[in-house]
Amino acid sequence: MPWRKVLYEDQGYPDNYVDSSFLEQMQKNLNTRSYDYWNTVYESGAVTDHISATCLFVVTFVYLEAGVLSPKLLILLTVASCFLGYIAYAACAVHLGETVQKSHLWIVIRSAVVFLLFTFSLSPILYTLTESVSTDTIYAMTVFMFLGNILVFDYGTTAAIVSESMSFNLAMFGSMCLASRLTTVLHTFSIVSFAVEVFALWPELRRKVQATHRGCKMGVSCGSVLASVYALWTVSTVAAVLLGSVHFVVTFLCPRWLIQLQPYKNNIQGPWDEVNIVDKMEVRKML
Amino acid sequence: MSQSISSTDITSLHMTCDKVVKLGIFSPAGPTQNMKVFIPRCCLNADSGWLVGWQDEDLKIVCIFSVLHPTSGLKISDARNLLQSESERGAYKLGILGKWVNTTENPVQEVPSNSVSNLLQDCWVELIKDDTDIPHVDPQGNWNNHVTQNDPRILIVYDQAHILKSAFQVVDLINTANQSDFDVAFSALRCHRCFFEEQSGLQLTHSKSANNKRASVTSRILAPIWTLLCLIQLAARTIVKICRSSCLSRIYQNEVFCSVVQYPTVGSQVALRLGHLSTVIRGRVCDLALSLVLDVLLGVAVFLFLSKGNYTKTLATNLIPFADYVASELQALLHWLMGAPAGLKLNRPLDEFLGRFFLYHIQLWIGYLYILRPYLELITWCIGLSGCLGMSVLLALASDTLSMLTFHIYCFYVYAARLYRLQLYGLGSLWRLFTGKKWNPLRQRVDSCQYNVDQLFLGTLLFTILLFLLPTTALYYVVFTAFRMAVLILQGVLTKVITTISSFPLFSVLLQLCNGESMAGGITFQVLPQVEDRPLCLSVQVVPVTMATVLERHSLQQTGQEELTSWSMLGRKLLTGDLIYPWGGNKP
Repeated sequence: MPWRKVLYEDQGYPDNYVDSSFLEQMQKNLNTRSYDYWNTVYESGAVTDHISATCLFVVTFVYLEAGVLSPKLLILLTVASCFLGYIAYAACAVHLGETVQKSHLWIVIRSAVVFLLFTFSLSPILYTLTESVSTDTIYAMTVFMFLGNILVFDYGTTAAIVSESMSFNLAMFGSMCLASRLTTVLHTFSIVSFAVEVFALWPELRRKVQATHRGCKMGVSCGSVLASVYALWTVSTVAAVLLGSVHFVVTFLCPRWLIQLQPYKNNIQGPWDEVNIVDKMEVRKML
Repeated sequence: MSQSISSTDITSLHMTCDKVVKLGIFSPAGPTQNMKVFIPRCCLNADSGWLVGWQDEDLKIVCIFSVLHPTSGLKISDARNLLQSESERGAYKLGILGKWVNTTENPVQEVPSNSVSNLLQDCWVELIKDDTDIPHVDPQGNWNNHVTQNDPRILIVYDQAHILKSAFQVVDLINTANQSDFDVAFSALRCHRCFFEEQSGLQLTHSKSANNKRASVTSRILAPIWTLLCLIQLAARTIVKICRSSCLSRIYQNEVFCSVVQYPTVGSQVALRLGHLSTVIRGRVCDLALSLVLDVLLGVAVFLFLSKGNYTKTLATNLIPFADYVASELQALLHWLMGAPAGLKLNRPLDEFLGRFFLYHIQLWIGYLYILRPYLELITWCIGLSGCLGMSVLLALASDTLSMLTFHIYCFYVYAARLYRLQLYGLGSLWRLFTGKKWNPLRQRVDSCQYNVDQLFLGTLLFTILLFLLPTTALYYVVFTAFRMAVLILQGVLTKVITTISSFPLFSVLLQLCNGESMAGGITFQVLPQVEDRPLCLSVQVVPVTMATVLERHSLQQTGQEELTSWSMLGRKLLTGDLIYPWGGNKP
């Protein structure tokens, strides 16, 4: 008797019997995409942007701690770049055709006030927080936090590992660890505000600018890479060389590697997969 | 009063203090199929005579109480008086059940068929004893209507004295609705307790007859105790009557007052003892009474010892420098914590802040002690005086005084524990924010959540601060919890002693030691070796109860111990900073 795929009948075959129709419905590599090398290089600019921003922040901290950069100057720079950034943001939005409402401005001002108020009031606690902890421990913690931030940052993809809030929190924790190493309240306040600007506001501005024009993206990426490498070079040559090589690897070598690995892809799909529930709206859109 | 103490009184005493125990048996093959003859062990070797007892034809039970021997002057009227004196107990009517013939006695006596034989009922049995252990059971007369020749008969030999002394109930485990045959027979036996006391000039063989009487040691020991208890009961009744008539009773019944008074240990102990006293007054409960008496005696002894040796004064004068020493040691400890204790890296500003906060409290405490100084001697004397109410009350008062003296440690513990707990909970909640999640109170689970940038920033800021301040808070918490635990252990020891005194069943233990048979731990059946043509013979023996069972069963305070903290719960509470209450449980 030919074997039928039913469970309710004892057909006399052993339980693990498979016949020739096994895996007929399996489909392989259903949703593959083919990558273009230069396109991938272009898109990898997002990662290099973020790495450069982080390095710039670290360099600023180094200067601040060394006493070369005065906290008042840093605060001034932060505020000024905030204003300029907001104007640029508004300009890009207009260019893209979105309207900027007045209430949005109020929301922005309110958030800014909240930030400044809380930072300033909690700075005195912050700057003596890790007095008794050794410097090495703090630096190690900071490094891990920033690496984690780079790892889970939202570069525009939808992967499981991406977590917007977690990346921002990690960056903030790292910068607060650094801030607790400083000597006065004003130093702490300045570095924390700068951290908020670099990790919360700059990515938003970057996304808006890059959405405006394709050339803008490349310009911003190149600019930030050069700035970070140069800044790091003034602090330490080895670090600058290292950063440069990291940038090179991320921009040119990693896309090549990704494309080389494509043939090894082996996704199987079949009737055993979980059902993907599709929204009614999405179905209408598809049709 | 000692003359009126008879063994009846003692046995009824036993009845009241021995809770009626239910012993279950599986009755053999249906309740009323076999004919059961109960015979006391002492009668197995008795001379010939008539069997006196109670029988039930429907249940096929013959329960023999004793053997009436034919003497020369035996008149039928004497026999009738013997039987009819119990006629008011209508349920179990006594009668002459049959004849007992002992063929081994020398010289062999015949049971004369004289007038007493006329008292034989329609159904009667003849038991013939010869050389074997088991007598021959021969139902005569109308028994043949109820039993056939082939029905197996069961002869049950029982220990009359033991069964009379103890009170237990035999429950049939298969048909719980029916009364077990054994229970019926033993109830009948106990019903006619007075039968065994009568000295009516007739010659009877039973467990309490002249040839079976043993000198009762127990009545001699227990008689004076019983006298004392009756006196106490009288005294207590009068006192309570006086109290009830006064307006104190109204206050005593107010619920709020009751709950407030129960809060300190001494209040609850006094309330417990008052409850015991009222139970004693209402009924004859010997354990409670004896325990109260012992308590009061011990307390008075301690009070006299303390006042005679003038120990209260020395105690008071030694207590003050000790308290001062403790305060100065605490201050030194706090100064040490404010530095770098044991090389631990603590957050300096927070450390200093907490240290100064607790130091200020110690200053307050020293001031409080200074005010208390002149009254301390009076207080210790009053504690000694309270011994008159009982040793347990004295200990309870001492426990309360200890609480009062270590009040500052309790305060410190509460501050440190609350701070630690707050910090821990804050950290937990902020950690969830850190990983982008939130607690969903509706679904009681952790869900992901989209936060604003302000919320994220503030959350991370607070998280960092709380995280780095945790070691300092934890250290203070550990130190003060250790102190509090030490005080609690001390109080726990005192409470354990108080509970032991309050709940020790002294009378039951004494009873078990002196007169072990009066307490029933169980019954055992022994099958005597079968002799052919004779009925199955079972021997019922009452097993005396063990000391452990006595202590557990008769303990005065039935465990009203609401959820005691187990070790794991204690550990969990310590780790999360939950307050630990000395009485265990979760409610404050």
